[in-house]
Amino acid sequence: MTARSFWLAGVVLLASCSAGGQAPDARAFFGARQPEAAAAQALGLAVDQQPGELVLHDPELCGARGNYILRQTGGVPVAATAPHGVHDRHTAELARMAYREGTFAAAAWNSVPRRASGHCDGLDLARAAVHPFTDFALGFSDRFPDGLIVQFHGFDGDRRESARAADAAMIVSDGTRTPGPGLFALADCLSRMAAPDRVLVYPAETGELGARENAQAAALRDAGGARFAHLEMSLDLRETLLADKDLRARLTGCLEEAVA
Amino acid sequence: MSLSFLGRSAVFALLAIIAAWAGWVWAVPLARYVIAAQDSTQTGIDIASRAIAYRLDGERPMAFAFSQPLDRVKIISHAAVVDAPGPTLGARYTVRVRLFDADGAELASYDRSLLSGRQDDETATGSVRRFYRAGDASIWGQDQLIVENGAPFTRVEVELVDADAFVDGVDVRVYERRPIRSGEERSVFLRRSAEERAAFAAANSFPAEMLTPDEIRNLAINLWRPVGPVGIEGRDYRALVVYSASPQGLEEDS
Repeated sequence: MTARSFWLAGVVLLASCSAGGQAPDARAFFGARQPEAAAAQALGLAVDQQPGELVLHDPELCGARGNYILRQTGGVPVAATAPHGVHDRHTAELARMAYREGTFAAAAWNSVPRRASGHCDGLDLARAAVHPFTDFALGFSDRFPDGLIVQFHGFDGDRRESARAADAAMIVSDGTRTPGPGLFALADCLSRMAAPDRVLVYPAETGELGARENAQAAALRDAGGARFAHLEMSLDLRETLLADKDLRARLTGCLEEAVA
Repeated sequence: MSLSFLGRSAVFALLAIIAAWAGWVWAVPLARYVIAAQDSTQTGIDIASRAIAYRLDGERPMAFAFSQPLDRVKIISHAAVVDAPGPTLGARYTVRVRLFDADGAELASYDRSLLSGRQDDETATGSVRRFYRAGDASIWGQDQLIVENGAPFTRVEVELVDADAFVDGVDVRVYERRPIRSGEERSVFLRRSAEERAAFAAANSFPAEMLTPDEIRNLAINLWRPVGPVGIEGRDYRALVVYSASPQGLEEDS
């Protein structure tokens, strides 16, 4: 092998490594610095191009589908998401409102039912490791390695084991048993927002609803990029947030502060 | 035997690729580890609970309105101290508590001087018992006031009247009794976790499992719930989060 052919081979090897050697996938699309409509269509997503943002939809299945909004430039590096957008009442609206009012970079919510009914299969999206919703989280993390992916969930106080959890307005976790100082800082801000109702941190203050099996949290931990926050909200708090724009501003303010 | 120029270049290129790959993979986790390590003195503490407290202004009273007329209210306070002087028993401060009825008429006013004991700041093992997550202020001993009045009141105003010079601020929490319907006392008590029941029953001679129905009823009707001040945080009042280290944290809930 001559010196020239050796260098040529090296250049080809480096070029193929940098290109990944694969066709663009969902994670790569969601992680693109400026996501394009054509790439979304190639993934089978329906595209609704709005000024400055892409609104995307999964194919509808049994009346349910996933929805994604990507701000094409700028935005606070927060993704407001709701995997159980219909089952956990009002969480889809809250994710959408938080995205708009907090000028967040992205949002995603899904209306697929968690439990099977009739001829439709159920799907617990928060436990689905292989799903565009998880690709969305990983892509967001690639795009904003210092960003925050927040999942809105809803809990039923009557189904909690302890009165402390049943009485709480919110239970915050990052999907691990060892939350870092960033999660406590977020919880403190949310506590001031919800006071005098309580915001609990898992596992320090409650052993319930810690999102330990959350697929997106696990994928993000493995990827080592954006942080993850799991917000379980009481129905009272969700309804109050829906009706009270000032309170929503405080919620989005806390999420913005978490990535400042 | 020495490597040719081409061989040396290939080795250097290989090493550069390995270094670039390692940096790509490990730079962000390493940076996060370093940042987390800087906070390790705080996160290393076993946190039992967090509670919101409200910093008294000193210039104007802080108002708390209740969901129904009350005959008693519980106020928990503590002093936050920065640059404590040498030996001292504690931090002295005086709060004024005024009670109002639904028409806004003042029913009573009390001035209470309190001593926030320094020794309460630490557990027997020397670790901090109550603390703020950030800042230099340390929290000294906690005081509790139960204010009762013959005529029902619907609003309380709390004001800081005086404090030692080294007191950075005084924080309060205000509680009203949790309304419980007759006959529900036992179920309300049993719904608390085992740790919470044990904390509530701590003043009894026997453990929570051995309480009589009357004792359970008395404990249940004495459960309190926190009340927030009137107004908007940041404009009308300042809220702070007080952390409690294990194992004393659960007492904050009662």
